[in-house]
Amino acid sequence: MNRLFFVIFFTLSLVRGEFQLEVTEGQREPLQMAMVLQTSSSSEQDNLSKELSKIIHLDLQSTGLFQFSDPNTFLEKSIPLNNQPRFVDWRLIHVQFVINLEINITETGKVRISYRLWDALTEQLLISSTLETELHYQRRLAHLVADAIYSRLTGEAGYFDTRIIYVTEEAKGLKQKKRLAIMDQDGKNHKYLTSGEHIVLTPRFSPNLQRITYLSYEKKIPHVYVYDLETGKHELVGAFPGMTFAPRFGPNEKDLVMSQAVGGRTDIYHIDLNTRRFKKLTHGNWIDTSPCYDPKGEKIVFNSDRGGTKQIYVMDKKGRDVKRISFGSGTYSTPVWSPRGDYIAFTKTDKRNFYIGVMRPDGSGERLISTGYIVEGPTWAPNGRTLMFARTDKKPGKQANPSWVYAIDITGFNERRIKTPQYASDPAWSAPLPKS
Amino acid sequence: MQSQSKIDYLFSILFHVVVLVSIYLVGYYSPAHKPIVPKAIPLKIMPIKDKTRLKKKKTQTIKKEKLSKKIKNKPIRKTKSSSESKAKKTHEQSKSLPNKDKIQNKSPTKKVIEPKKKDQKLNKADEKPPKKAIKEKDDFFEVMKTVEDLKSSPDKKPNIEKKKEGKPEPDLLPDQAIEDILSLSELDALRQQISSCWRLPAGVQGAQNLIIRLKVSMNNDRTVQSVEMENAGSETRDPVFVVAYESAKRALFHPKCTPLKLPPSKFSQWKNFKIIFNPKEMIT
Repeated sequence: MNRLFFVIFFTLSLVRGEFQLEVTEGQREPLQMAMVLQTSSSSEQDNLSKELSKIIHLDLQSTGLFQFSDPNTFLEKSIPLNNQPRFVDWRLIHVQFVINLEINITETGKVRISYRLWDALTEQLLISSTLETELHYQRRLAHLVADAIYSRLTGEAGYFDTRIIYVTEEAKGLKQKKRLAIMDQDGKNHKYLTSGEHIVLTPRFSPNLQRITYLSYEKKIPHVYVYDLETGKHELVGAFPGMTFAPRFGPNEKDLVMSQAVGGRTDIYHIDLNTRRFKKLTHGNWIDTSPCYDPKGEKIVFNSDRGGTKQIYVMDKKGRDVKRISFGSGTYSTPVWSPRGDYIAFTKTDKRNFYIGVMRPDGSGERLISTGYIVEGPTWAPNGRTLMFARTDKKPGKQANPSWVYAIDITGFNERRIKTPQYASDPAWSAPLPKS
Repeated sequence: MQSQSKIDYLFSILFHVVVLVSIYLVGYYSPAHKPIVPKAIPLKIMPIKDKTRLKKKKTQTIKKEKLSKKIKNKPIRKTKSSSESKAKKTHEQSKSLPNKDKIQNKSPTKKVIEPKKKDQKLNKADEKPPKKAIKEKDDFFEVMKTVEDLKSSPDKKPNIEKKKEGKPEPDLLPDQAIEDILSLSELDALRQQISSCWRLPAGVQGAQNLIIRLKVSMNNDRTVQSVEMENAGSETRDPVFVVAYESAKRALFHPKCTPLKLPPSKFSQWKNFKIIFNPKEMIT
């Protein structure tokens, strides 16, 4: 009977002239975009429009997924906001998406961005929205528009309205000054958080972005501290003997994991920041460090030399059910779980080469996406699609080797340097900033 | 008078009875069953033909085995048989290869008896030309696919794995139809053209599951008239899936794909077609 049905189906399909084709490969080229800006009679508004449209432009272009056409090539120089573009004209210059922006200052002194996103190929309106906020949040508003466009065209959450905390490095003779600094993901609004009197390392954001945990040599011996961004105060986390380091918040604001080194052994601890109670999660005469929670807070990935070399292990949040997941050559360190849970990023050292790589939480699918003289300390964008890390280049002679922060797409494409005023290392990417 | 009339009545009754009996008997013994016989004959002929066909194949395989071992001169017969028609040869070979395998797995004595039921089913299929064509395409198109894939990527293994993983049967069968409709070069050109127009953002979560099935209606100037999504699952609500669907749809409206490289003379055959966008090979 099945055969009979098949024959009927097949002959009918031939009679109807229908066939089926499978396409399995596409292009990786960026999508071609155009941004059209409404002009206004006020020079103040025009300047604001140019400034904010530039933020949107740079945000989208920085992803490597989009490329903007030169406005001089536009056949349609201006499009009234509520009109649809002349799609044929845009297709002629190979533009696939048209962003039509109207930015103005309202009578109440607020900034308003109205925008439309058009698909020039299918001739469809993809987004039509208006956002308004206080004038001093204008940059954030532009980032939010870029987030909305990015999200509509990729299906992923945007990450432009985020911040980065990192360590600035300044070498004066033999003295090295390391300070905590915070900035927007595009390098703007840069601020120093510490004076540089003490060396600081490995800063990490808390989930609500109000606090930062980091390592400081304030008391000569490295210890873990928590810094409150709102009050500017910092405090020591527990009076642990020996060194404490590699701190990281869990998805729950009160959970913090870190390593403690005493008597030649290093174990991982969980600290409840509300009750100040701590629990030892790993036990043994080896070095367990760099703990990081999964997005649900149920598992912890860390690195350990219990197998002879530094490898990546996963355990549950109570320290049970430890499983090794890395089995490649070389050593692995600084594992970080992706916010979307599908990958673990890591630093790998093999045959004197450093690599940034990703693997699935079960250890499969290992891919090395960047390499260099020293590349280390990956951190994820909140959408789990882009990574940031520190890259140190080898300088000839006795010159200091400069370190900069770089971002790269998870696919290994679009590696780019993040603009910082000084040498930079140890970046940590925040979650999206809160908005009402 | 009454007695005479009774006799007449009895005579007439007897006469009628005799007539009826004779009619019945004549009818019974007459060749009235003839129409049943021709019905029975074709029914018998069919399996005989089938058996003979199978026997030929079996004997050919058996003969070939024996001949290759014992007699050297007999390959001439093979060449004779194979030289009968070049066009048929390829079809026969492609057909016979899988059958040979099946047959060779069974014992030769049981072959004639056991396969009856199965063979009858198979032969019913053989009677109809479309199924024959499908079987030929199965093997041939698989070869073409690997060749095409080799052009695009040097690794053979992933292609094999993908075929196993991705339930190839429903995908392959309609592709086989393409071979009938469009030549392989036409098919390849169309595939390459659409590939050059398709841009799916890389690194999307779960990209390996973003298989978009579209139904395309064409204008006779080879431009796309309309595109309908054939996927109907819950995944269609996923924003990533929506983006993937839109990127597939956009590929068909891309300037590079307008018009599509289709043979104008075969409009009736590509007026409507189905297309699957499977980004597996784009995932690194």
